Amino acid sequence: MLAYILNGIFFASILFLISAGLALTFGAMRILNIAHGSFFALGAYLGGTFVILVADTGVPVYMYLALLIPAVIVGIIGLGLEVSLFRPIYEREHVYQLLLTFGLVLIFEDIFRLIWGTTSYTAPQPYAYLGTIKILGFEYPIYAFLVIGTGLLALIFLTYLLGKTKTGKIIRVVTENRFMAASLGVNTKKVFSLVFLIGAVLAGLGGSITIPMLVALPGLAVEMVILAFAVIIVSGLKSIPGVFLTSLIMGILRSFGVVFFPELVLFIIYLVVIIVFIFRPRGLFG
Amino acid sequence: MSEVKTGRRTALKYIATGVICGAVAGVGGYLAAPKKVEVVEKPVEKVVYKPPPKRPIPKEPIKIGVMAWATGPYGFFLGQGIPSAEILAEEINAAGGILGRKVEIISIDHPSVDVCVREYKRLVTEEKVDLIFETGGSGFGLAIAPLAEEMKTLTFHGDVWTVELFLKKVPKPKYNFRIAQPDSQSAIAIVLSIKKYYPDVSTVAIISPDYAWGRDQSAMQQEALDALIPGTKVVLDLYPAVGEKDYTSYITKINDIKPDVTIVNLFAGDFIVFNKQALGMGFYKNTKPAITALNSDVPMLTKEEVPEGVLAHCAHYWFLWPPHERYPINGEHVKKFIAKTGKYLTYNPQNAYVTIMGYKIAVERAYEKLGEYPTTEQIIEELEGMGFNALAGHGFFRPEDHQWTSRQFMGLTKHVPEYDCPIIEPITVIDPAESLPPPGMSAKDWIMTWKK
Repeated sequence: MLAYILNGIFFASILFLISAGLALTFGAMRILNIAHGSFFALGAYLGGTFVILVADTGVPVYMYLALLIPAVIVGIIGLGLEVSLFRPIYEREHVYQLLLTFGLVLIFEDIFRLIWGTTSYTAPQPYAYLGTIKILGFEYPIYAFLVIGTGLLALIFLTYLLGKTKTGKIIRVVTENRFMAASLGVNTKKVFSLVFLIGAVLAGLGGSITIPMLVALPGLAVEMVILAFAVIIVSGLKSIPGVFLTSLIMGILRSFGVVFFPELVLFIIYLVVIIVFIFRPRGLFG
Repeated sequence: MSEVKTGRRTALKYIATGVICGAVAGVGGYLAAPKKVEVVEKPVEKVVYKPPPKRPIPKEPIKIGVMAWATGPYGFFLGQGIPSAEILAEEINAAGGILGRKVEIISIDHPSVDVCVREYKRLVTEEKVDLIFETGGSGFGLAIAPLAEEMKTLTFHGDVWTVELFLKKVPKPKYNFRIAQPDSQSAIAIVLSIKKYYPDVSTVAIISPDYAWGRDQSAMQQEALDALIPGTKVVLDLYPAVGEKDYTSYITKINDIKPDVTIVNLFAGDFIVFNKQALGMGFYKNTKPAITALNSDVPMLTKEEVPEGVLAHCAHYWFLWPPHERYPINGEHVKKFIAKTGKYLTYNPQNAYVTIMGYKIAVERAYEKLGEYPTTEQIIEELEGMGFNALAGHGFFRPEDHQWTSRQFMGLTKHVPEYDCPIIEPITVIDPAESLPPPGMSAKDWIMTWKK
């Protein structure tokens, strides 16, 4: 039983890292950023590259530090894209945002193929190095706890930022009504840039931290962004703890689904989305 | 009876009419009569049968279309036919070509079935290729197989594993040939090897990707288990999604039940992720895995990723068999391939070899028999039933269904310093007679005959 709960929390942590950033950008900026999954994939590829670069040094801590670098790089790239490409289309219809971000997805995919090739890209060293731990008779990879811990840290950081800091309050005001916030003198452009930066950093970190347990390959970006959209549809856009709880519900539901209703396990996340759409369209925590 | 009276005037009328008719007939006969022709005797010409002129050897190069899904997620093994084809073309051209004709490879990357169909048609109609070798997976092969018959183009399938190809899609193939094993053969082979390596097995779990191939494979394996190892119970039959990122719950479930053997039908990226997570969760201590697709994954796996002693199925080619020093056909090609690509070989180099060398041998034999350059249909006649040595040893195309009779390779993984990846040693070679269902017969029907 405990193993299934841990599996669920592990999957929920990955879901949260990609969904939280999307919830922030979609919530505050009303930007349908399909390319958010590409930030996750870029983080994964970069994380793998840096790990491989430092793995031969024989200093294990470098491998774990290397996993943090992609978050910074992806954040900078995200900020650059926000200023240059996203800013001009904020006031446009969603169809323009979809076209732009879909174009970015395709460009990123081609860049991944060009640099990292089309085969599965993997860097298992940090995962293998930590080994396993025995809990109540079953073995579990220690690295999974690192992923879970990163998810929890991200939750604490975002909750503190949005709930306890002035910046967070401004972000919340902009999320509620950006025109009112602008009329009160809030520099919404700066807020948007900051929100986009945080979203990109979280996605990059999510990709980087999970690469030792997963693989990066073409199509990863789209798979992940679909899951992230499912999470934020179910949770609603107004609460980061809500996004975390939704990720947790979906992760654990999926984990137990493998045991009790394996035929439905592929469908289960989308079943929850459909039910929420019908009975609570604004989301569980919206 | 009445009496007829004839007068003088009437008699004269008859006489006059007779004279006129006689005169007209005489003149007409004169005019119609052939004129007298002077006959000059000439010597009679002798009629001699002239056979049609012999079909000369064309001067143009032989164009071979090599189509592969080379840049997709499975590109690392689907695309390996291209470098092999290029190596073979270089070798053939260096030796003077096929009956003096140079070989030209036109390689195409097709990322989807519709592109595959479009490019296939273009290769046939615009490039006018002599033959096509395709490796894109079952969906791609099923889409172009009817086209091959319609467009009368010799087509070799390197990666269509589904039994549907020759059982349903093209039941009487003429222009289609398959080198890849049908999935019925791989299912039977893995069960035969479980019987050999783990004869005391009583419980089995199966984990397969959730799409047609995975489900077919599992069903056939269960039938084969039932027939070959009676009393075996399949305790788990799991189908994670293709491209699944989190296998932890599936692994936990297998670990909970601890089946004697777990057949892992996952491959490529899916296998890598599964295996990575399995290693960290004590999977290999709780069950004996039998992995069906390890050959296609070898270039990506390290010794750290696959422990020793794992039962692995290597499809219809294992790059270290036959041993290189005793079988230079394989040894030379492996050497050239690694030098060209820096990667170990999966099964598509074998498929490229069978296609190109098979075509070469068929053209040369047909030419020798006919005394003229053969047509596509004459080359096909030669290919049917023709046996020759390929990378994986001797085989032949069954005349009934154009299926290449390939062996199956199985064995336990081992780590050796010469190779970065795990190798299979000693290798168990399963003969096609033991594993390949007869033409037109499904695995299930064939297995039923064993039960009887």
